[in-house]
Amino acid sequence: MSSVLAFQVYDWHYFFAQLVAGLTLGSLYALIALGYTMVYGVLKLLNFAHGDVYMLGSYIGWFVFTGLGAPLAARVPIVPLLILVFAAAMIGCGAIGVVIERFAYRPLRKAPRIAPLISALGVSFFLEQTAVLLWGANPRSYDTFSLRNGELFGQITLGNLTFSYAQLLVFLSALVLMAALSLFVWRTRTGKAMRAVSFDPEAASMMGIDIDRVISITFLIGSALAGAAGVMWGVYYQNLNPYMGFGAGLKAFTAAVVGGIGNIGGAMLGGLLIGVAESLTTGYLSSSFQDLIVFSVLIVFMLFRPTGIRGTPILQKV
Amino acid sequence: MSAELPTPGPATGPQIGVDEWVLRSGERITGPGGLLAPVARAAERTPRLVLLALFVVGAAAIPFLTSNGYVIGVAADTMLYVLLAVGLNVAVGWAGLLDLGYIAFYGFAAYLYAVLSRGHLPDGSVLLTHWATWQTVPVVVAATIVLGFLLALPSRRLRGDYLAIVTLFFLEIFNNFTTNGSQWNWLGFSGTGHDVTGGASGLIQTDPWRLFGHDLNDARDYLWVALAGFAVIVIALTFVNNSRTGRAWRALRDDPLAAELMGMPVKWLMLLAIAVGAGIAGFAGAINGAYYQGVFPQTYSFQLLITVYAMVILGGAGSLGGVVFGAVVINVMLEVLTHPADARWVFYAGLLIGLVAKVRPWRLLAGVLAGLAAFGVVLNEIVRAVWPRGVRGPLATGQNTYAQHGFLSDVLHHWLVLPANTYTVSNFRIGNYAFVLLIALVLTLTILHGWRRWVLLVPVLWGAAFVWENVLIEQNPTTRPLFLGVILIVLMATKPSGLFGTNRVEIV
Amino acid sequence: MLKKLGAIATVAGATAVVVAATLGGTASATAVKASPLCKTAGLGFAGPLSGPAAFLGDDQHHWVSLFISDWNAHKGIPGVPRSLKRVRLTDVYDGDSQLNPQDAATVGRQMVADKKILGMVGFAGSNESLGGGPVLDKAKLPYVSGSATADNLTSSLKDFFRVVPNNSEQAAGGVTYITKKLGLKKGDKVMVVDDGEAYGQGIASAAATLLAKRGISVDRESQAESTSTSTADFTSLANKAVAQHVKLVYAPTQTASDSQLFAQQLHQAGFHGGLMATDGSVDPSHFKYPGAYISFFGPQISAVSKSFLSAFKKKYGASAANDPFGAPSFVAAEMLGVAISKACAATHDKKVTRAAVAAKLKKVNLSSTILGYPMSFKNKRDHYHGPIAGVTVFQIQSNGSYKEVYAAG
Repeated sequence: MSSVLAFQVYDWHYFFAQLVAGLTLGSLYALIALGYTMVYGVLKLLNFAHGDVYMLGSYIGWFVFTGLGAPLAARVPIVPLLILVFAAAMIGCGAIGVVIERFAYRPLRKAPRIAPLISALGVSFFLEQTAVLLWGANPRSYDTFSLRNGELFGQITLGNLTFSYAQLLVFLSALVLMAALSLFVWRTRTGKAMRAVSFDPEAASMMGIDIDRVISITFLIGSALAGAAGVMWGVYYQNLNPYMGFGAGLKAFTAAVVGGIGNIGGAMLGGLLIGVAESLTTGYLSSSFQDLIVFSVLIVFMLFRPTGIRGTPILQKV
Repeated sequence: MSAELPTPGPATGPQIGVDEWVLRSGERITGPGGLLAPVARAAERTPRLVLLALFVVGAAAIPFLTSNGYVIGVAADTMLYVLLAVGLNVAVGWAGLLDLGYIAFYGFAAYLYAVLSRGHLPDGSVLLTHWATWQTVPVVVAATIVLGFLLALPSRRLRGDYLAIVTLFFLEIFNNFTTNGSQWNWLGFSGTGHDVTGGASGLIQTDPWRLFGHDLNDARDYLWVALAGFAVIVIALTFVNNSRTGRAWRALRDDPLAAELMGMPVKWLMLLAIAVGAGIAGFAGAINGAYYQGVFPQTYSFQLLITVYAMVILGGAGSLGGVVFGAVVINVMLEVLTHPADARWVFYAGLLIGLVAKVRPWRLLAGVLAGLAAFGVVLNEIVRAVWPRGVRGPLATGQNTYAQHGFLSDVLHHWLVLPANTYTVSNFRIGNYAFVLLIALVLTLTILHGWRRWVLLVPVLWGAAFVWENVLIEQNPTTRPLFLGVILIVLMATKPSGLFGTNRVEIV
Repeated sequence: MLKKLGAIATVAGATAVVVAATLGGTASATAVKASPLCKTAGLGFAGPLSGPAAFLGDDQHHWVSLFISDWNAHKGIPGVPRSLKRVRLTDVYDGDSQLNPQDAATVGRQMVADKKILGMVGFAGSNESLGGGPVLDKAKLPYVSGSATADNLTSSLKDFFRVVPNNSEQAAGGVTYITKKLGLKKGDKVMVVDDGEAYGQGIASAAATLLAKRGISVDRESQAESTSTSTADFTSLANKAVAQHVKLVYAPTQTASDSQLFAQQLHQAGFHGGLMATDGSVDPSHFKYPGAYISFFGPQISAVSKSFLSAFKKKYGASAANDPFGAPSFVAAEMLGVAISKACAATHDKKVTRAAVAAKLKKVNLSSTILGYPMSFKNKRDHYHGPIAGVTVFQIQSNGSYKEVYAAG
């Protein structure tokens, strides 16, 4: 009732607090969005199962995390613990991504475009229900808050900005991963091959690029990033359940499209933008209609700029 | 898979202007093969109208064949799914538009029916009298068609994936609006606001349909109403499909760019396809709101969307009869899976039929079956010697009831490994590992060829039965969506055009 | 291509008929005449056994199973008189309603069609009850829920009963505590956050109305629970609570781990007021944030019925005993078991009908239950279909245990 008036109450400190919240969430979206956008780039496929790979990453991380006695009786200090958890989730998810591509999408390389899309929906359902069978529908928790009396959640204040180590961790590791990805795509031979395949697969294969290998690597990297995002979710937001992939996947997918699907920089930008948009909508407008407002804005945006922020116009070939 | 494809005809050099897909299109447009082929061929010779009549009369007769309210209820549900699938088929199957907001039309219609038939909004703000059925239903259908236009109008420039996500956004907006609509505030700012949708609790006590002076109170009545509507819609759609518009839709689907260059009003065709689909969903929604005596936001979910998509895809997008078949099969399958005793027979029969259909020659089939029997019996004996408790488990036979006796149980107790207390929750681990292992084995199976494949098939089948009996049958609530996923994956890998669809030529 | 349409339609029709016949066949084969029901009667259970809320349904289902095995083994159960001749109960018939009201209607039809079933525990959710209830009402099949709390259930459904207090009573208990004990007064600000579910919205709306009546200004917010959206992040709401100088956050949700996260994120944002959750979050293994309040419907089950809780944990694993509505489902099944036995006793095991069970249900009076208070359906404010229970408030202690700080009269 009073929120309309409350605009005047809110100050810059409040704005920055919401910004930090949005950037934390947004960097997760961005990491997941990278997987969507990379796969779209090389295969022109909306990989609906990607969100569920992220969910599996979160569970794999949880499995290792609790397996090492965390949070209460962690047998390993925090930094190596986190590195182990990240590594396990990234490797596990990378492998899962490659397997999914090999068995669910590769046979459909030449099928009509709707076929792999439907197959992706099938994989998504399959992974989700597999997680229910293996871990149960009961939500699980990393409970990092209890890890060494909440050391991870210590606060840092810089002027108007206040954030916790965990937030910093999420934001920085997302930045590092994205930077590494950019270097990979722009500075290595494989990255160049990836760009070539994305630009024109037929021409690329004529140039001697092994398309299958490039696609496998794309899935490997995209899924590993999703795995990392899954662990970050667990570390900062703690609660996981087998259905978490869908909602996060949808948001990330949106981020990829808003950024201009197929464009790596766009996905990062799109992810951060969606995260910030969500947190500002809740902060200044309405939490009840957050999705309604955010998605309405996106529809309008899509209508005026269907190719996203950084997307290039699609050239139709006859 | 790809290695088994027949090599394209006489060896020719690359033909100018002929894509590989076009080149091979002849092979692909062969209609349904395998076990369904004789059925489809026989039915193809029968006039369409007769078949439609047979289906409608057959389904309408169900209430006379059984007095079981549950069965009649399932039949009515199935008819709602059939209507939804037929409507989705217009947009997806005929015009080739990936409309992911389709379920929102269904939900919108159900909510509109609820509001109009109740006569007021939940907070009582818009007061009307209760509308009669002959007023509400046409208004609901018309309004849903208009909504279809309104959504499609601004999106008319979008194609393919972009259309898919804009429509998906629309579904999310619809869900958000209905779920939190109990605090609706026109400015969207927080505050208590008005109750316009009943929020997560939905709207209850909607009026039933009233036709010819009778209130429709039974699942039976709505089954008949849905069937009558179905007959009218199918006849109308058949005419549309054979008309200029129908051909234009197919042209749009097969190559939008070419269609546009041929001077077709592509944007108008797209609007029309989405609106016609929406209209059919609107009719189904008007039934839905009355039949369930209430509308609830949880119903019109992404999960329902996927289920309807699975129906359309399984039957074969573009084939009207196919999607009807898909809807019936999937809904009935999902329902049968809730009854372990019936599901068990369906499962083993399915495995057997699959083997008979796919394993040739007969000698090989006999070999696989014999190997399967021997493998199980030997393994069973080994386990019996090493770990006696491993073969003493019960069989789930009903809603949480177990049996130690009966024909199938006796067979399974000498062939499978059924650890005792497998059904208590804490003891699912063996089943879990077996499940993961089974996935790995099945995946391996798909890349093997020759005799290795047949040898591996034996443990895979046995493992499937093991996982089925020890995990899936008891966890049937999870198994149902799991199967839905598996159906989609397997179908796409083997028959992307669905069981009854005509293969399409796609120019990439 | 189009010719096939009819072809396939026929196949589909034939399949439908065959399947209908099969399903009908199985169901009629299991149907038995009335009198054997006094030997062995069936109980149904309906709740979410799959989907994101499956953990709620699973737990309740297990508690009902535990009751049935205790009952059939003639073990002592609080509230069941020694003299009562127990009608044997078959294992529970479960229906998976997925927290989806329209699925609940299908489950309802399944229950009605099975003539063995004399009563049903459920539906677990308020929405499910609204969707499936009319089907059961039509067949006069009584159903007792251990967790459906929406106010309008008892007034709009005929054969619906519940063993937990409704939303208004719980909200009233919580608001009384907020105003009387915590001393919030006119002009103070409370943020009410629902979980986007029928459960949370119902309690939140009731509480918001009560608070507003007392002149407390309410900021109504919503954050869909993590099990449905997967991106449950309360940081923005926490910042808002701080900026608006909110004195207390009232946040009903059924996901205890969400309450825990909310408490932590409020703390992170520098919030110094209180947090009150509701019965859905009572789960000491997941919601353990020191200082937070929780309203509930009686004493803690672990305090009053240790033996049952440990029997449960032994049978279904420690992680299974989380749901606060599990034990009430045990009591719901108990009410039905006693009602069925009494209905049979009244006719000397000759005849028992669903309507007779429903009639007896209104008269069942358990002097004690595993919930720690007596149970009978005579709450006037709940249309004589609700329990005679008071609302309690716990505060979480620094060691994570729950301490009762308030009990409504």
